Amino acid sequence: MIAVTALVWVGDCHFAHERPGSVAADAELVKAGRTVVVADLNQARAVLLAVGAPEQTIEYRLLRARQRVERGLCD
Amino acid sequence: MSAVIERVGPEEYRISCGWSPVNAVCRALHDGRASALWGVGEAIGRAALFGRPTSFRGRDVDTFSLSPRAAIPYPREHNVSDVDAHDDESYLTVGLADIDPRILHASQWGLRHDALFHYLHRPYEATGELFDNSRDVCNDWPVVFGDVRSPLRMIWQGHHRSTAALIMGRSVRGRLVRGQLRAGVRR
Repeated sequence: MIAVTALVWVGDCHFAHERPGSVAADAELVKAGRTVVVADLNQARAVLLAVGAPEQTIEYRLLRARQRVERGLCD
Repeated sequence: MSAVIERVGPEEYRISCGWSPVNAVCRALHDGRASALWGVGEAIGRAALFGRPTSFRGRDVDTFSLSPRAAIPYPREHNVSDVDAHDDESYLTVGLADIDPRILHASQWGLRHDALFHYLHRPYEATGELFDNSRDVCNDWPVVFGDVRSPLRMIWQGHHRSTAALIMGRSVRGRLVRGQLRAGVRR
């Protein structure tokens, strides 16, 4: 249960959320301010690209998410 | 329709709703009520915090400038050094929570207009894009200190993100770190 950004989570999420499954549908929900849960960090990357996040920001947020997973931390 | 700020000259602006609603927020902020900014929208929020009247029509403000800096709207009675550093949770181990920005206190004095403008116009919650790109782990998320012995909720990181959330009428998703103030610090 890791948050890459406030609205894009991987695995699970303890806030109200949705799991549409496709990148396009995920991105539309995130643009509308809704929280989505995606399957893995690769899909999170695709969703963040689709919502217009800068690539450097995306790589940084993914790195931090990966580090939290490796340390056994969750959000 | 929400208010908009229109540029009418070099460093001079006018707000579409007139100055009365801005003035109402300014008076509340002067009385220490940051919650008056809740959901007012970006134009009234920016005008109330950073607007400085430059011309009047009758008794009403007609145009204003936008100062690059302004005082933070939140009460500021403590700073980070008032927290007992040996007794609080590590912010890295704390999960995320949705925090009400209306009840927060600040640990810094001021706000920058350009930074607040960034969070009002860029979808930070979606993209994670910070105004300050120094990429420090302690700034990845808003961090709020919660005193276990009082209702105090003090912003450690994310003063601009919290103020933007307040202005837009939404909660702040960040880390609520519980601990206590140092012995002898007045609550």
